Amino acid sequence: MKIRFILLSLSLSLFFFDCKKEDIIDRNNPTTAIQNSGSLIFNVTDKVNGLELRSGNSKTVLGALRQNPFTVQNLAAAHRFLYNSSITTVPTTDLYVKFLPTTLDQINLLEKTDENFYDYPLEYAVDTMGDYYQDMQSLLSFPTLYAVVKSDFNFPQVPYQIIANLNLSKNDPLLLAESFRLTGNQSDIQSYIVGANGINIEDLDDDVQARIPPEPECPPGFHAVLYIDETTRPFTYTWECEPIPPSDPILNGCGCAVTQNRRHPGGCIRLDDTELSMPGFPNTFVPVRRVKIIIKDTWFTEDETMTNDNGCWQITKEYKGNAWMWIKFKSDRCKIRGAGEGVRAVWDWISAVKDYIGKLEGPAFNSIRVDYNRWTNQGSREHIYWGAATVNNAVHEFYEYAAQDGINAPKSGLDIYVDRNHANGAAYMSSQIWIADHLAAVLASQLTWIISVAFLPEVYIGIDFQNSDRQKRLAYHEIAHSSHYTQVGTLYWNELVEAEALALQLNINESHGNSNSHDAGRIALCESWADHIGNTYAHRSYPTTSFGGTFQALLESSWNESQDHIPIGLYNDLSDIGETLIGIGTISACNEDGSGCTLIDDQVSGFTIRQMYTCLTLDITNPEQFRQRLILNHLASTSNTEAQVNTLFNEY
Amino acid sequence: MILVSNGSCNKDCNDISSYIFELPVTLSPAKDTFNIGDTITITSTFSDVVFDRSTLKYFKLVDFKFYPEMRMREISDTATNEAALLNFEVLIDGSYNFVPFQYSDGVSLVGQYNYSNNKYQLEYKIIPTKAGLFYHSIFTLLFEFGKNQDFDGRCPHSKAGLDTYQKLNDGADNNVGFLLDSPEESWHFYYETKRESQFNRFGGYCFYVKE
Repeated sequence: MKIRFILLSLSLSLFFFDCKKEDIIDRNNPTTAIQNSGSLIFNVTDKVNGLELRSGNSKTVLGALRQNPFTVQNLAAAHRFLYNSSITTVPTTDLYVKFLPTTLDQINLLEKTDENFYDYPLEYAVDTMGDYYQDMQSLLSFPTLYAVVKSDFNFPQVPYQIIANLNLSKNDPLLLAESFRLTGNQSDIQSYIVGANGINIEDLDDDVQARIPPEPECPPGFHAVLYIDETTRPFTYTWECEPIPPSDPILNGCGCAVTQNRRHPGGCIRLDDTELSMPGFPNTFVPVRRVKIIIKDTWFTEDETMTNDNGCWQITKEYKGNAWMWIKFKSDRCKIRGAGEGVRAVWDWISAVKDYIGKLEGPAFNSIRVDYNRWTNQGSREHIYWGAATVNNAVHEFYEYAAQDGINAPKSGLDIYVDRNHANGAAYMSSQIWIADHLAAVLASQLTWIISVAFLPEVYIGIDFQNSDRQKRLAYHEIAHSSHYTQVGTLYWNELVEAEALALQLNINESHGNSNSHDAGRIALCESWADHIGNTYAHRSYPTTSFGGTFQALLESSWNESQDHIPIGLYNDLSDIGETLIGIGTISACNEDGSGCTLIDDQVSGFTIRQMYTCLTLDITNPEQFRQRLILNHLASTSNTEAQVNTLFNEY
Repeated sequence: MILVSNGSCNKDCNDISSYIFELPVTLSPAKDTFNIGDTITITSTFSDVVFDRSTLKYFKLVDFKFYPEMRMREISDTATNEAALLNFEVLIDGSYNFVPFQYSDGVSLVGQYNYSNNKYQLEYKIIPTKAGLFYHSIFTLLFEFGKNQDFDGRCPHSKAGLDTYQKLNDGADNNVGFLLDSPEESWHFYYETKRESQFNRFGGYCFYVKE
């Protein structure tokens, strides 16, 4: 049986959770929260009541400066007062720190710590949480950043000041309440320490627990609640049997298990997939997989967890009073950067996309739903979130598809930048430094200058798509490059990036060049492979598409990207059973750029994705070498003849 | 009067992801039930001044390659037959480049519109040879194969792609409710969720064929 006690004194009035709260709709913030049947729902959309909003960032509004009850000094003072002790300090568990970065590199070092940084001083009350607090003088201004780090934190080479040594153990609620009282924060005690449903007895110090009388047996439907009157000396402990409150549903709207402890934050994150979902019906949305959830209370406590592959998340730690929630698009597999309109500082480009979801008004935290709707306004923050969530899911799907096919997953921790203004992509991988030295000016014509010069991502993905299937196809294409990169390494990839940058510089077919471009064979091989994987994996995710046909059929209709260059359809022809025309026909595949169609003589079948992938090694830099390697290594395991394979390659 | 856009790229380029050209298609006779041996005629004829549903403007598209594709599905059973075109006799005038094509997942008619005298034309006739419940659709691969084509007033390629909307029988119902008659439940979900984005957009038409 769950045991609680309720603090009676300190001029507090008791109240219990009333689930009939009024709906909360913040019209100034497109993220609207609705309290509904015990669930807190955040509907992330750039449309509110049919009105399209071009949303910008909102500024955090601070309230009064508060005296910090969590400092080791103030907690020690409370201990002396409450327990008549003589201690001068309590152990430091955490440090409240101010970082003062002055360079881009320092900003990047902070980002790599994976700590949560806030641009407002945490000892202030927050009247309204927003997306930023500090106004920047210019894009290259650097904010002062506040963080709570563990006492053994390994500080990066960034100027910092320790503002306070904290003890955040909260293992003695009575002591904490006393510290709140002594620091003038008594009005917070009820909501922050006691909470609507009281405190878990397990949270009390052993010394306190030893003084509590035995728990009584309560009749069915009732449970024991301990009341403490700390106005007496010694405190008075009284058990009472009270009705057990109704339990929450077992599963929430996403099918996630709902913890029965309402103070444990939990919920699910979902995404409107334009091909798999029904707009406006979140129950048809798809899970947002493996993104970071950050919950922070009104003082210094923050917790993180990840959504699982069903979009579900849970933090098994109690929260009381109010809290705030963020979603950060970062996991061990990828970090997704991106910025919407109204970029204020370089920080916005370097950090992982972080969505301030909203304020969580307790006492029920256990069923929080966030629904990312499809975007309407290009550049809105909802556009960035939809794009980041879609690309994020593509990464995790790629891992699964790659495992099915026996090819390498992309590089772990893949640094991805999503760009709201474009519908193309690039995989620079580890070429950032080399590019900065050689080709920054070229890329700057295509990319935001700071991205190209300072922090080029490993993978760049345009998110100016309004269809999930096409967005994912591009993402799979770029991730396929990353997978290929894991097999060929940096030097090989530098050569590819150089060839494509030169083609871009000469304005030849954007960056893919033509059959006469510098290192055209490498471009042809790498881009055609990524096209094949992009379409193949898009077909697995989307059997039906936004264009009426299928991605598989698109591959079967594809010849080269341009005349004699980038054989998109080759790999499918190597594996499928061959195209046939019914009746009289003259074409079976077309060049993607509209430069021509042909009837491909395809008598080849049976090569697997793994067999083809294993041929894409460091020494294979063009389709001809790929042909030779494929024949050498894998022809014998198929029923094809060398002549048939040669004929097919010659068709391209 | 039709106003043809001939201006340079303007602010609309920031607001659209794709042009969506509306291509009218007619299926006649527009019956809900055909008999085996009946002739069904599908025509798509339109001026080269084409309406774009994204910008709500008309654009002159000279000798554009749309890459149209027609797919016939039989949805009478729990498993959809994507090669249902094989249950039809197909009649296409020799002047058209529109031929049957066997994909790994089914059979389509593929090819191009004819363009002459500032007009696009495509016509094919189908004669059912087997009873069942069928779903006709026509779409294009313009977004992929024709994406580099230019026309007056086009935004940069990187800003706006090309797409089409095949408006069948001037946006009539086209027996969409027959999807609910299919024993394959995915078509019921499709009916609820994809009526506009798939069925209407891609020239959807459902009909029964009886002995």
